Amino acid sequence: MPIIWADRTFCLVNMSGVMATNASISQSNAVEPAYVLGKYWAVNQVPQGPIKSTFSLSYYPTVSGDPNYHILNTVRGLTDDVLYSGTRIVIAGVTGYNCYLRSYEIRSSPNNLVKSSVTYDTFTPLSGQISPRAFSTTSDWGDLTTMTSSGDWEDLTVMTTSGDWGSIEDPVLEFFDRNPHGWTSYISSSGNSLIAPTYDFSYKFDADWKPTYLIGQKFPTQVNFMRGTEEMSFVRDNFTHIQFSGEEVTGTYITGDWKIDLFNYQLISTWNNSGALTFDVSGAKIINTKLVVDLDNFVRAATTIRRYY
Amino acid sequence: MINELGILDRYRRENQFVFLNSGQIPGIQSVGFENDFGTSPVNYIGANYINLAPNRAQEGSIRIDRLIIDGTDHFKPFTGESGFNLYILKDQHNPTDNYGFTSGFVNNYSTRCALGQIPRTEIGVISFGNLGKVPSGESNDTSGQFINIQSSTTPGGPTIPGPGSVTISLNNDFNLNRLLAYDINVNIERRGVYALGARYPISIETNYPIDITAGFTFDLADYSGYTIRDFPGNPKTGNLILQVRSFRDNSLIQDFRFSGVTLVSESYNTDVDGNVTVNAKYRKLNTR
Repeated sequence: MPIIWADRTFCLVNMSGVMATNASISQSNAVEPAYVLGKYWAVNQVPQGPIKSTFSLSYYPTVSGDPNYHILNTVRGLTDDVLYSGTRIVIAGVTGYNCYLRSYEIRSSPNNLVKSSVTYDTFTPLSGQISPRAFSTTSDWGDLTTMTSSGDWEDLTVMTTSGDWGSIEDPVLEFFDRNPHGWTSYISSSGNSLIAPTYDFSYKFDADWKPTYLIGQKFPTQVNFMRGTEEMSFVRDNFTHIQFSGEEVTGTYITGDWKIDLFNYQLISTWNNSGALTFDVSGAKIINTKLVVDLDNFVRAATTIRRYY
Repeated sequence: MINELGILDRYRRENQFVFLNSGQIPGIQSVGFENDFGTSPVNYIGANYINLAPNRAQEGSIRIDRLIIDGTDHFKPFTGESGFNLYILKDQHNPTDNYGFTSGFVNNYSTRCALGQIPRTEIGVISFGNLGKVPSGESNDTSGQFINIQSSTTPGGPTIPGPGSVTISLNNDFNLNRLLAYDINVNIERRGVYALGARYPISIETNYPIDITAGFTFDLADYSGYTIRDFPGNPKTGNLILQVRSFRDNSLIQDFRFSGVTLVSESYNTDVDGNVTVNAKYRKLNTR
């Protein structure tokens, strides 16, 4: 097996590339020790839960081609999960089918590119082996004197749902320069940009999926969406008092309805609006507010709001 | 550009006019601009093409070295909360061809003088506005300054201070011993406060305390050294007043007053080639 460096492999979510800086797959087998009367030691380890594989990715999102954002919106918009069967994820050639979004996080801070991370769980077996992406030629970069322009990366070779190996166009190339940025993260209220500054914004969605098993089957017959929790945190320089446990966001922390748009940073020079990652806070309640004072910085307050699905 | 002789033109000191806001500053020895665009590679697993994207604050770093030859320390007023613009022009009255910065704040100010030298200042600046070729429409300030530069006058004749025109008051050390050199260094941490949705800082703050050190080198006549164990029980403190005056008419050029400075280090040097010298360093942390 040849050694494969990170630049020679790929990460796909729903057959779309993501600009991942870190990706991992972890499989866990839930076993418990079995003790019996008359024996000092455990006699065996027995299954006590389903086999679960977790896919984790940290990545630079793009405003128009982030598959995770689209999946997030799909999950948030579910009214009936009967027909929802998850998505397909490939990391370095290892493929997971029927992967369910467990968490989605995104953070925007001043002067920095927006970063995201996602976690997916699947309860069905994985397939494939660590494998590189394909090349069009064998020598794309020999040394400084023999660089060729013909040695570009070629299509990705990935396993299809039917188990055959096929190829797809490089999915990232089209969107690689459409990363949202702190410079172009706008918070608006009823269509008007906020005057009061926000120094940091983060969003987190957690979903609870429950696999249902039947006796005689190794894998779940269905996976149901039980609940989702959405949290957003804003760092500002004013402190919001929580007056009672059901404090609404609207009317106390904000006026009107806030909308957070994370645009492509190219917007500052070209005004070429190629879309945005958009979040809104309607219906949320304040769950936490925290004032922080430390040396070498100004006084800040972080307010976290939450709503449930 | 090719000149009338058909050879490539060049930029030299005679066509580098330094303007602080809209006034020309004489005595500049050097100016260095560090214009880092804040690029960062957006690398990712399986990268097909690695883009360079902005991923930190776009702030410039500038060093200015100046001899005080016109009787004015032009940069000392900017050790407070005020910022300034600076332009280097190829043509003294045409600001179009410039290299400069806007919204610069002094983050390091040092001045020094030794026997046989003209007092010198070295300024460190951090710029939060633009850096490079500054367009006239950069801001209202810039537009006004560009207009004023076009009708600006050349600074007047030199007003040079001499080492004999320096007076220092701090305990009795300088009355009883021969001062050879002094240096004052002021570190002012400037912080741009950035918010989401903005490329420029919404505020520029000074992070106190301001760290001031003053060092003096003198030839000994009557000096009792300080003992390392005297601190902290019996620290040597005093009020420092340093004044630099014009060599000709005794007018005040520089005036520093720091109360409650504390001796923080002292070096005693003796060798076969000269007199015994002591270098004493005092420190003061200025709060808001």
